[in-house]
Amino acid sequence: MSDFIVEVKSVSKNFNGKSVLNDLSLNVPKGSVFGLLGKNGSGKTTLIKCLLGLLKPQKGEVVTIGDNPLKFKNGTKEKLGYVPQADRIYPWLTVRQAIDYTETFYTVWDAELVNKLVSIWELKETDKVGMLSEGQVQKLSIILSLGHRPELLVFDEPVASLDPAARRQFIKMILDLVADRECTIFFSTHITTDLERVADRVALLKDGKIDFCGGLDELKDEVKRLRVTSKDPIKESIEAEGVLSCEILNNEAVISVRGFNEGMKKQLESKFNAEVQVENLNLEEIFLELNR
Amino acid sequence: MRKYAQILLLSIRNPAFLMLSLGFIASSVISKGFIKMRLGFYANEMFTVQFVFSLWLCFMLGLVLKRQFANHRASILPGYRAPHLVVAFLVFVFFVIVVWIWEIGTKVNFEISSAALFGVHTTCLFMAVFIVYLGFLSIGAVLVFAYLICLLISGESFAFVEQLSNTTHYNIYIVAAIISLFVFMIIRLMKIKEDSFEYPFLLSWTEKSLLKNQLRASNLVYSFFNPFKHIFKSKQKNSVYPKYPRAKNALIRSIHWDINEYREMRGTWCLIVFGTPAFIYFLKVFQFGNEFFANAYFNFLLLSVAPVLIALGSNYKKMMYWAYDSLKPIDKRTFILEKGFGFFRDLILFWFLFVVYFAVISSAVLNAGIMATVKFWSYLLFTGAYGYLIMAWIAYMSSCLKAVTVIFNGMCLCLLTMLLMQLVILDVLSIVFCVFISFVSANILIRVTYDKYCEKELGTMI
Repeated sequence: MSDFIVEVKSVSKNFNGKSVLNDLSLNVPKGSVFGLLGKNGSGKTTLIKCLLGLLKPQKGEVVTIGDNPLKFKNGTKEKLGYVPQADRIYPWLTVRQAIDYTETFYTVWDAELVNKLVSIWELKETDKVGMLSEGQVQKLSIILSLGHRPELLVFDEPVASLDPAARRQFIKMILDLVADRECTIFFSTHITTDLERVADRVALLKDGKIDFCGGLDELKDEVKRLRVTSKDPIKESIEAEGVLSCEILNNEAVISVRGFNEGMKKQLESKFNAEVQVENLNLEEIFLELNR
Repeated sequence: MRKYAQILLLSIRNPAFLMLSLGFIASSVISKGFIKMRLGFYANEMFTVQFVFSLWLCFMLGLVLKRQFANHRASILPGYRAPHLVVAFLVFVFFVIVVWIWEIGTKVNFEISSAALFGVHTTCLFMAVFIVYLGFLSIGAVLVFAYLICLLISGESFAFVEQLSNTTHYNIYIVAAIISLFVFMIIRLMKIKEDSFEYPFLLSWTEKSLLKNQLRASNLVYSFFNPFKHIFKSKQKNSVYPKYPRAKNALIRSIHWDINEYREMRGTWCLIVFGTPAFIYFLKVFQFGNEFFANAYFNFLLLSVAPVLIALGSNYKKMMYWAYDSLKPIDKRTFILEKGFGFFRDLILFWFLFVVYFAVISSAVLNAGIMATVKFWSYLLFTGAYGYLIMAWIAYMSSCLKAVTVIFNGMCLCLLTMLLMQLVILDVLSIVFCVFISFVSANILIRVTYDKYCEKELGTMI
């Protein structure tokens, strides 16, 4: 039995000759909250759709919950929940009717949780879906994906349309789900502060490949900002392996590095006869540095 | 069983589907009433109404199916696809059963063969399959073409049903073709994925995916018409949304609002190029439908009402963006005027196409003598003028805030249309007078509507 709920091996996907995923490999451990980060058009949605069998990769292999996504068995689908970027539920149904309709497809349905979320998110059961705002539809979509207590929840930009209060509730809900049920959550987002609060593992998608995959702390340990203060003006640009960016102002230089270690610090101190301060970066800063 | 019930409710709760179903059942009951009252002629007429309702029901059934399958739920929800197809098929069977029950005892009053009824069923089935599967005719704005086919059969339903009533044998080839297409559709719908060939042709849900899929679909169509590929490619370079033009001519400026739309419609011209010879061949070789194609006077609704509906349908999507469009550097009166020109231009275009196909070409092939009369041309002119009046009247109704006013005007419009269907009995002078009256009335209505629209908040009118 594999420890990974999602295994992606050397997957490539292109649209009309334009490569979106390029020999990408990724493993998502069971019970983790896994965040997928990447710029617009980096292939996050395409990767998610390949994991769910909505798209067929040209090359490579995907195993989701131990099954081939292109031939998911009903039993596997029972363990899967998905919230797309923009979900349009039948506009002529009411909130309650949409819930009842979705419920009938599953053998297990946590009506208590669903009702609780409907009430917390202030959705009126009698309102027609077509009359709901984008954010309210997003809330309903999240509720519908949770009712059957999935083992794997896949969210594609789940909080994009939510207000700050709803985002906070969403994050709390994710933490509760993981704590109570050992559910695995895989989600893509642009809002790094949210990801930082809940994700224990992150993957950075760049040019169709995984640029980094690991624990959030590992990433924070790997990427650092160094403030080099020399007694003399720094004239030459600092170029070395792992340097992501460098800004020099007289005798002070600010550099961002990847693959930081103590040796790097000592080397800079001796080379520039300088004092080197190491600063931690938050996830947003790391994301910006890695995507320069 | 609950799952099947919920899927069925999904269709029943759809207001358009529900209304059409009620209309269908009501037409069956009313025709039975006519038979009891020994009014066979009216019962026969009601059968035509029933046929039209079932045709539109199948159109709706096809649309609902498309929504169900162009959706991530088709791949993510357990046991999703087969039950949806089963329910759609059962709905179809239900309507067949209603027609079968209706048929019992009707033969005493008027003759209609089992083969004719079977013809009605297969036509309706074909319509559902056509909407679901023959995708090119159903992407976004091009959905109007599928709508047009449905409208065409409905508009000529009397002749169609008469033709079917005279049928005494099953056309095994047509039936086999439709059933094969139906089976093929089921197989494909059971397997369809987002990157399947036909997926972009399904009616996509979100606006973003709709646009993406329209682009994919139009690319596929362009590649299909390979000999013309280079022509489209050179035009695609200018596909960015252009700056608002400063040209003085309002008609030229009105094209600005539609430039992206027309990029999508270019494939239509290929359809016309290939379709015209096929249409002429169809008229010459097959006798089916020649009664109504040969006589333009029978095609009043097709020539006057259908172009209006198509022009309104093709502009409907754009109307949702009026509130945003009006933010361009342009005053509101000019904006409304240019949009109005857009509608008017589309009406002329579609009316012209309808007249060319269903009056001029069809008459030239089947009944050339009719074209030598002045009445023929004045009648065609009248269909255009009356189409303009309908367009103006509908625009006026859309500017009214009170539901009662809309209903009253709608009823007046329907009554007038029914009355004018008999216009052919008048002489040329009277027809020309009707052209004049229609044109003047339309202009008055347009003027009133224009002023009302200029005062309206554009974002609230849809």
